[in-house]
Formats: sequence, structure tokens, C-alpha cells
Amino acid sequence: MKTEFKNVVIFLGPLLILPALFVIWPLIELMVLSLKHKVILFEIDRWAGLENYQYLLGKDARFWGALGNTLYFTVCSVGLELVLGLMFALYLRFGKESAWIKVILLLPWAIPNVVSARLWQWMLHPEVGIINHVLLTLGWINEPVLWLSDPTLALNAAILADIWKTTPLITLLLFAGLQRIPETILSAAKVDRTPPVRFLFYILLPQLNPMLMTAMILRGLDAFRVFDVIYVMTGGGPANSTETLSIYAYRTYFQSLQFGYGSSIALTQVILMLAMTWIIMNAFSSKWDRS
Amino acid sequence: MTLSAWNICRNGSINLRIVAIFWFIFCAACSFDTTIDDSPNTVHYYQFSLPGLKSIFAELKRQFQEKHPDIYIHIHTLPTNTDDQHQFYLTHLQSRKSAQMDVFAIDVIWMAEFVRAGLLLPVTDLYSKSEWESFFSPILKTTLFDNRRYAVPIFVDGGLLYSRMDLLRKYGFPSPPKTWEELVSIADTILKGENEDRLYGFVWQGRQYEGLICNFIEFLPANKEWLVASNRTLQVNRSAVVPTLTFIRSLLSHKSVSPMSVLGMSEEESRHVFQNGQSVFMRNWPYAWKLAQQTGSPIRGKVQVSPLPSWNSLEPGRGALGGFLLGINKDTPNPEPARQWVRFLTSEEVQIQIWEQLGLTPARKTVFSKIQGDMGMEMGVLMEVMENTTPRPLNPLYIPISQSMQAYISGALSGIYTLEEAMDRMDNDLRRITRILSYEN
Amino acid sequence: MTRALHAGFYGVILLWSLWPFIWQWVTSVKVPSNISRIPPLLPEHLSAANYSAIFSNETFIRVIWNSIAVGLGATAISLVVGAMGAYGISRLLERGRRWIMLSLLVVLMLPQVSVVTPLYRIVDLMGWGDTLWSLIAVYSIFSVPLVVWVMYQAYEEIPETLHRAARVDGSSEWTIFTRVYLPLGIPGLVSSGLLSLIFCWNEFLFALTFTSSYKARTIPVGISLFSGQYDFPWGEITAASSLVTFPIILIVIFSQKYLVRGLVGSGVKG
Repeated sequence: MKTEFKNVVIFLGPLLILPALFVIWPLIELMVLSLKHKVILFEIDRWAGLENYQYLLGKDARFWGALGNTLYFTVCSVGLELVLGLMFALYLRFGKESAWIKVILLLPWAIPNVVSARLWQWMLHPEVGIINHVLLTLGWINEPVLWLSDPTLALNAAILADIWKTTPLITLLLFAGLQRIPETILSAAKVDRTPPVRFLFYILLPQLNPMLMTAMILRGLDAFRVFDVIYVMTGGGPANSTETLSIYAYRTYFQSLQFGYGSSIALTQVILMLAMTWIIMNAFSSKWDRS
Repeated sequence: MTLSAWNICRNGSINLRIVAIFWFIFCAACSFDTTIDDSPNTVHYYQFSLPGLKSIFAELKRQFQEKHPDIYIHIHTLPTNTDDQHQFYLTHLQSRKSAQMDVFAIDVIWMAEFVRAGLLLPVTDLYSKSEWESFFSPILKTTLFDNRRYAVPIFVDGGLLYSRMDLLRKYGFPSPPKTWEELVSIADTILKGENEDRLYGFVWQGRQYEGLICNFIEFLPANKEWLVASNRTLQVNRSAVVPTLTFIRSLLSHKSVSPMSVLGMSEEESRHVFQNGQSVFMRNWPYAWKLAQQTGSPIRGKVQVSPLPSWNSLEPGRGALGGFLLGINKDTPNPEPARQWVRFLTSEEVQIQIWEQLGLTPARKTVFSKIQGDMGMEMGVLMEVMENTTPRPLNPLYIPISQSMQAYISGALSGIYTLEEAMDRMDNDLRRITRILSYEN
Repeated sequence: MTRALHAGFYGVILLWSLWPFIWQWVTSVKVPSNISRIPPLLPEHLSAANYSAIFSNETFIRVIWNSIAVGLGATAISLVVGAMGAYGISRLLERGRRWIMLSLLVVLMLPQVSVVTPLYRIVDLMGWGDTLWSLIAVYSIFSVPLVVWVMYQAYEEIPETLHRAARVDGSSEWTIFTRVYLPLGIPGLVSSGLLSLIFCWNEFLFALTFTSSYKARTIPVGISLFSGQYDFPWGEITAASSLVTFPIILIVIFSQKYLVRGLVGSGVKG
């Protein structure tokens, strides 16, 4: 028993201490800060009680806007990535698989978000961007589209960049899932001459379900905290139409210097994210416990 | 796969080697030491970066050290983007353990904040009263808090109107417009006459960024504040802001003088449009002159600069005040050497050198008689503009206020908010931002 | 007919994935003064001006080096901690593994912005401000969960009987771990190491806030801070981006098998 415990400490010690030190402590500090008015620069530091939350949930239209943008971004980008990723994966599995196509698919995923964001920003440049140039040449548009400075388009442009970057990951995850489907099921369907649509919805997707869920959850949580792509492409503008929760919190910290209020935004985001995780946990009950 | 993994790893030394390589690289990575040699009389000077700045400041440093052999200057260059510089200063000046910073270059819009945070050493006695008055008065005003001066201007900037005189003359207008109404009517006439699809009337900077505030305050009627104190917080002065936004919207409406794409433009985008000959007028800073007049520019020799239009033909419009000042860290261990360095950089000779080699407009009006305009720039116009610039609000919370106002001005102009909505949201955000300071008074 | 269909599909995937890279490269070899002009689509003649501009700036090389050092350092730490932890969770714990795995998922998915200011304070207290150490420490924490997740799956696939047999033989846990599980888990280590490297290489928010000079800046921050006084220097940005994507292209080409196999064999199988 004693060596047992020693072993647990040796193997799990570092794993549990590091996050405790660098994640749990910061979260506690975040909680404390969110109950304060704190502007370090001006040496303001006093208790505010729940005032920050009252303002945040009650009067702050900007917070609700940011939440809406975050949800829109999450739903659109993850949804489209799953559809596209599934298409690519199906093609790789049943069309023609090739190592090269996987390399090519992996490229966008492997480059830094900042690079892909700048890349798209450049391609979407209103005056000299390649996308406007092509669309103008084809005659599909009559004047340059202001992809990143039109409040109705900017968030969609960021979604486009995100889809470009992360569809490959989804493709590979789903491809892996497809490969795990037993050959016997596939050949049975072939013998039965199951129509393709039926085959997809009644045979493949149920088999693929765990993988689809995993991809959706991981990407969903990742999209919910989106920062880099948007920060680099639009910085939250125009007219805050691309401001997500992470960006709003960041701006409140580092531009408004309000550490108290920024913390209450960030903590609200964490709580929302934990709620999402909790829902997942219930959806996947006892997945990790050995039966 | 499991089997092949076995085969790879039978030879146990392979994984050892991998680990060893990782650790080797890791240790090498961390062996980089980052100490700075510090002699007691070192002044650490932090400033923005510009093309060519490094070599010129190396030369200035040499000149300074000839005069003061006992003082050593260490120049640190920050990113070009002013927001990044601002963030650098804040994170560094807030953490007590940070590197030594003695003198730093401060954007005019940070002055109130830096002074309120108690970061700056007063430099009132650095110059005599008459010598202080040799600086342009608008920028000088930003240095004064409670009758003390906290920084010395090093260069100034201000908004200008660029006009395509060839087009104006073709339609019988001898000189640039003096009022906004005139600008609109001239642009209308020329656009109708030319009937060219890709010719615009007036380009400016409407992207959501600091430049939008500069452009916005230039459209305001003279002597009207747009943010007013009310009930211990700031509020938007609707009687000034609503008509201004309405006017700017009218510029952007269909078939009018400014294209909607202005709302995505910062300085360079609008300059590209203007320089390609696609616009009659442009609002920009003085830097655009040299580029417009350089060989190969399609508009070379066809441009004239003038003060921005106003709402009253009797007085010139007011460009937004820009520029940088030099401040001394309150906690500097070497105040005297720091003062010497600031004195030197803001001396007339250095002002002339900075103008001639970097094109930064001198902050001292007295040197204007000693310098020449590049490519035929009319120094009289430049001087008039710099003497009449209008500052952005001198508020310690200016940066957050501006960030927030940019969003709503941009939203109001692009039409995603009605003016009413925009005003309400502005007031709301102003309350959120300023409520922190108002408590303590 | 099928061939044409295949070709068409391939064409779409190629264009979709590669076009941005090609355009980035094309822009980077244009003469700086021609960059803001379109047409011409293609450069009239190749110019290395943008590349020499970024290399004349010694900070850029330092920034690349920083990224490599931080990536390798954090990956090394997280592989050690993560592999041991995954072994512990998989073989030593009877209860609570679900709880631990979920907490790790929470850490992995935590919005970075929520911990950035407290972490900055810790970094500052340790005197790590503006050093590579701050990033190595923080990246380790955030890539450990990734490694644990991948390695846990890998270790779960190793038959429990192997572990029991070794225990009966009298081997200590440490011996079993280093002699059996570590070697068997190499594919998983490679793939989780690559994932962790890519995470460190891409991370932006912490790097942006913890660093303030080129001494510790990484590539994402370096590229995001390329800015002119009034405009983005697109030529230099695209040149720098092309340079940093080149090694990634090589890595992906050579490790594609590991990355994909890692994902298929031991990866997040859900």
C-alpha cells in the first residue's frame, strides 16, 4: 500500500501540481479580482461586491453582443467545418486516398493562427486583395467588397479563415473514424446495394458518431475561446461586430486597464465553458471509467 | 502497428537518444543570457521605430556623447504601432521589477494617463518660460497639469487637406476649399464633370482605429467639446456629435463625395487611392506630401496642401493634434543625465536634423525660419496648421474611451446603429469606463 | 468520367488548401513598390528585397530561434510529465480517472484570456518577465493535458496483462514504465510531441502579453507586430510568413505518417 501511494505520487505528482499551481490559483485570483474595482496603473484597488456582475449582466449591451458573436462564430465555424471535413474524409476513405492529399490538408492546420489570419487579411484586402480582384474580373461584383471593414461581413470573413485553418484537423479525425468502421459492415452494405444516402445516414454516421462528437466538442470549446484569428484580422472591429468574449475581456484588461471588470468577463466566460463541458460530461457518461 | 513499434523500440537506446536530443536543445535554448551592461550614468531611452530612425539616432547619440562623455545612452526601439508601444509601457511601468527605463517617447494621447498614474518626473524648470513658448502651443498644452510641465514635445503632427489642383483649376476653382460645404460642392462639380467611375471626391481615414477619432474631431464645429462631464462621469455632447455624424454620413451616402470604402481605410489606403489619381481631396498627415511628389507618382506637381476646411469661412479648420513628447521616469536613478538627453533631443539643432532626415515636423515653431520644405512643401501652411491643431480629450482614461468611441462612431457611420442607438451605447460605455475614477473624487 | 471527377475533387482541395500559400509567396517576391498594385497578378521579375529587408533586421532571426527553443523546451517537459501522468492514470489509479481526464480537458480548453493576468503576475514574481522561461513554463502546462490525452489512449491499448505479468515478475513501476510502456508508446509520444510542438509554435496570447522585446518574442508575435507607421508592410509580412511556413511544410511532409497514424492509432478516439 505504501509503495502504491509512493508510485502514485511519483507518476501523478508533477501532473497534478503544475496545473494546480498555474491554473487553479489563477482561477481563484480571477474570482477575487472579479469582485473588485482594480486599476493598477492608477492605484485603484477596492472591493466592489457583485457590482461588476450586476453591470455585466444587467447593463452591458457590449457583453451580450460579444456573447452573441462568440456563439455565432462557434456554431458557424464548427458546423461548416464538420460538413466540409466529413466531405473530405468520405472522399479520402471511399474515393481515392493519397498521402499527398493528407500532407496538403495538414498544411493550413500546422501554420500559426497569426500567419493564417494575416494571410487572409491580405487576400481579403479591399483594394489589392486577390479575392476582390478575382471576383471583379469574373464580374460577380461591381465594386470592391469591404470584407473586413463591413460590419455585416467581417465576422464571416474570420469564420472563413478559421474554416480554412481547421477543416483539415476535422477531416483527419473523421477519416480516422471512418477507417475504424469494420470492413464487414461496409461490405455487407455493398452486397445489400444500400443506396448512398441511406448508407451515409443509417450506417456510416451512427458508426462515426463518437468521433463526430469528439471533433465537435473539441472544436466547439476551441472556437468558444477564439482570440488570435480575430484579434489579428480585425482586432474586434468594425463597430465591435467581431468582438468575442475573449477579445472583450482582453481589451478590458489591456486597453481599459480594468482588471476587476475584465476578470468578471473572463470568469463568466469560464463558467459558460464549464457549463458546456458539464453537458458533454453527461452526454458521455462514464466514458473513461473501465466498465 | 503495435508490432512495428516494438521493433523500433527493442533497441532501448533510441528513446534515450531522443530524450537526450530534446534536453540538449532545451538547455541550449535556455543558455541565452540577457543582461545589459549598466554603468551608473546610463540613460535607457525608449522610443517608437521608423524607417531610418536607427542610423539617425546612432548619429545623435554620438553627437550627444561628444558633449557629455560621462553619460552613456542606451537606445531601445519599440514596435512601430503605437498601441503596442502603449501596452509595452504599461506592462513595464506597472511591474516594479522591470528593466530600467529613464526617458521615453510618449504619444500626445497618453499624457494625461501617464501623469495621472504618477509615472513622470516634472520638467518645468528644464526650460525658461520664453523657451517653452517656442514650442507650438497646442502640443505644449498637453504637457501642463497642475501648473507643472511633465514632458517636452519632440515632434508634432496635424491633419491636412490635400487637393488635386489640376482638377480644381479645370473646373474653375482657384484654391482649395475653406469650408466643408465648399469641399462638397467642389467635389460634386468635379465628379459630375469627369463622370469617371473610379474617381472619388474625398478620401479620409474611417477604419475603426485611433485615426478615426482624429478624423472625427476634425469634422466637429470649432469650440465645441464632444465629451462633457456630467454627473461625475463623461457623456457625449449630443448637440455637437449628432450633427457631425449626420454630416459625415451624408458624405458617405450614395453618389456622394466619399466612397463607403473609406470606412476601411487608414492612412496608407487613402493615400494609395489619392496617389493613384482616384480622388479629388484627401485628409492626411504631412508625411503623404513627399510620397505624392516623388518621381513616378501619377499626381506629382498637381497637389496642394492647405488647412482642413471648417464650418466658418473666416477661420481655418483644425487638424487633429498628433506627435510625441519625451518624458522622464519618476523613478529614474539618473535624473540629471536623463534631463540632459531630453534637452539635447529637443534642442533646435536636433529638431532640424530630425526634420531633414526623418521628415518629422519640428515641435518648435522657431526653427521653421531655418528649415526648407521638401519637394516644395509650403512651410507657411504647415506652420499655420500646427499652430491650430485640436487635441483629443486630455483624460487619463482617453485610451479606453477612444477604443470604445471608435466602435460606435464606426458603427454609426456604417449604419449598423442609428444615431440614437450609437449615442446611447456611447453614453453607456462611457459610464462603464469612467465610473472607476469618479468614485474617488 | 471517374478520373475527371477525381481530378476535379483533387483540384478543389488543392486550390482550397494551397492557394493562400502560393499567393503569400507570390506577394513576397514582388518588388516592394508593386505590392499594392493589382493587376499585374504575377510579379514582372522576382525580387528578394522583402527577404533581405527582414534579414537585415537581426531581431527576426532571434524571434525564429525563440520559437524553436520555446517549442522544444515546453514539448520536452510536457512529454516527460505527460507520459508519466498518463501511465499513472491508466495503470495506477482505480478511481478518479474520469475526473482527472475531464479536469485536464478543462485546462486544455480553458480560455487563455481568463488566466493571462494572474499568470502574468506569477511570471513577474518569479522574475521571468520577458524571458523564454515564462513561455516554456506556461506552454508546458497547457500542452501536458494534450500529451496525457494522447498517451492515455495509447497506454489503454496495451493489454493490462502485460502490466500484471511484469508486476508478478517483481519489476518496479518505474522499470515497467521505462522498459515497457515508454517504448511501446513511442508512436504516441511522437504524435503528441508533434501536436505539442505545433501548439507552442502557434500560441499567441501568452506570448503577446508575457514578452515585451525581441529577446523572448516568438514568431506569431513577431509577425503580428510587423507594422509600418501608417500601413502594414505586406511585402515583409508575406516574406516572413513564407519563411516560417517553409520548415512547417517540411515537417508536415516528413512526419505526415506519424501525425496521421498518431491520430488514427492512439489519438483522440473519443
